Amino acid sequence: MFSNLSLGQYIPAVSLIHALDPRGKIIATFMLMLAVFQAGFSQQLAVLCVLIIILILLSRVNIKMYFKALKPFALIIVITMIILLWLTPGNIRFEFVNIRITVEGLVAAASLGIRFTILLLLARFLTLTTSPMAMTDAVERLLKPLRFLGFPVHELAMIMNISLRFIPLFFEEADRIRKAQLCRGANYQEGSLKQRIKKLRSIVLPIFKISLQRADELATAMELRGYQGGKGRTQLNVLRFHWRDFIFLGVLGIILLFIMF
Amino acid sequence: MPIEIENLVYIYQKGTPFEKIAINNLSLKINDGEIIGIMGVTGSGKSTLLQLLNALLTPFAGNIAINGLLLSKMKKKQLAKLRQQVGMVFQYPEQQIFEECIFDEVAFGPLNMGLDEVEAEKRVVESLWQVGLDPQLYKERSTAKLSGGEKRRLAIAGILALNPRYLLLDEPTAGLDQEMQTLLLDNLRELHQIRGMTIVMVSHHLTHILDLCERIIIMDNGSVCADTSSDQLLNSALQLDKLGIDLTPSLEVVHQLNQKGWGIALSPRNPEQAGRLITEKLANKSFEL
Ligand SMILES: Nc1ncnc2c1ncn2[C@@H]1O[C@H](COP(=O)(O)OP(=O)(O)OP(=O)(O)O)[C@@H](O)[C@H]1O
Ligand SMILES: [Mg+2]
Repeated sequence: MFSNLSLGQYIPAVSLIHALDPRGKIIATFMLMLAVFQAGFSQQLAVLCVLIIILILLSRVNIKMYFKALKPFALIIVITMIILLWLTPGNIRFEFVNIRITVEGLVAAASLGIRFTILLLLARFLTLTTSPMAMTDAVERLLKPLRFLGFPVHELAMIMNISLRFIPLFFEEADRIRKAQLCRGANYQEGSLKQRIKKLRSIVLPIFKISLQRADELATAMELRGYQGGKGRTQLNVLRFHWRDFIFLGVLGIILLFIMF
Repeated sequence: MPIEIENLVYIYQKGTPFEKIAINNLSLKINDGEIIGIMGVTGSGKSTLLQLLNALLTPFAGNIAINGLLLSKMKKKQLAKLRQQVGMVFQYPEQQIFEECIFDEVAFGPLNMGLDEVEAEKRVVESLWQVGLDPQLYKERSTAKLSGGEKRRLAIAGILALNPRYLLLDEPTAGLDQEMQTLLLDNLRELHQIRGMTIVMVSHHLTHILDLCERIIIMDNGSVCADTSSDQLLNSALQLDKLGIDLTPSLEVVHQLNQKGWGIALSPRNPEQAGRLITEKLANKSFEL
């Protein structure tokens, strides 16, 4: 039930993309996302598609892992596309009984579908190739200038880090409880709606209780090891830009400039 | 209903760099009414095998047939029924306990089976007694505030309450004190003898396995590397040694003597007999030490 839901899952591999500095990757991903929004529905979008396919191939992560990210959103994308197809006025291209499909509708639906898919793939690209640790490190570094305005950068990064780690735990916990209940003859598919809701409750309640317990344990464990916030805390892996990061960002930037202008 | 396992394969995290073949082409037949012990080093796939038997994991290849019915062909509803027949106690009690109070925890299974409240309560009381928890004292207590050993026993009670035909236990004696271990093993033996329950127990303690089991299966790297009756265990002594499983002291003595040609046939479950044989042979002075 929960096993095919994989949020923010990092897949380690030896690839050019994995080796890049996470800050560079975050910047690159945002540049690409902006470009996808800005690009016209023309060669611009087509070239962007090719560029992103190349990046995906470079990441050397199984393509299946990318498509997993699309699955939960597939229905929303398709429904939105159908609505656009149906409601956009313009030159009528086909006409069934009383459904009119316009050229503008086709363009709008395709454009939205493609853009949305690319955005999801890009987000996935970033999370698949960057460990949560590296990601929070990078966010902390990128936001560091804001600290002088009194913005709690370190705390924000810590919250992000912990939530990123808790999401998979949450699903593992749900899976564990589901297994334990299956073992004792639970059958979620059976019974009236009311009975099913009751069964669902018997999973959800323990998950929340156990997650709170985990949070408590984590807080204690951190305190035990003398954690007291960002001040004076040194870091284990100091991020450093290498020549490959400059080349990657440079090349990407030049390509994007060519495409967009 | 025998359990037949054929060429079973299970792989964790297939398609990632962490891919791990946990069960590798394993075949095994478990007959009705047997009492089997499974040993093997850590990571040899014992827990994975039990979860496959209970259809909590789906094999990548191979078949499991229970009473001639293939697990892979079963509908969800049939599987739910089957899991009540094949009770499984998880390796870690924390994996198994999810209710807030002890009564609810144990009653979860019986209620799923459609028993009425009176019958379910009877089951709860009975199975709590079987694991040495006094129902009067424990029934209302919170599951979160139990000691490790109490949690272990509660987890076992939750499964016993199903009154399954097959009982799969993953290291049930771990974390229990001596007295509780004996109580548990005695109860399991009784379930086997009186109710004819088929029992499969994973354990790292050869003494516990010899104490209870008639057949011993040794696993290594996801497949069966020895499958003997406990009387014949010494024939597999070499394999045990290779896997770093220690013999019990009395077995060790017999094994050492046999390597010098003493030829003592023995049932490991009856060390007194070995003692007698050794003194007899020494009295006859027919062998050198
Ligand atoms: N969820 C999982 N994901 C990935 N690998 C796993 C998972 N569960 C188990 N494994 C791996 O599969 C192998 C077999 O695990 P299993 O739990 O069956 O061993 P075991 O024989 O029960 O060991 P132990 O005696 O320590 O309980 C191990 O190498 C383990 O690391
Ligand atoms: Mg195990």
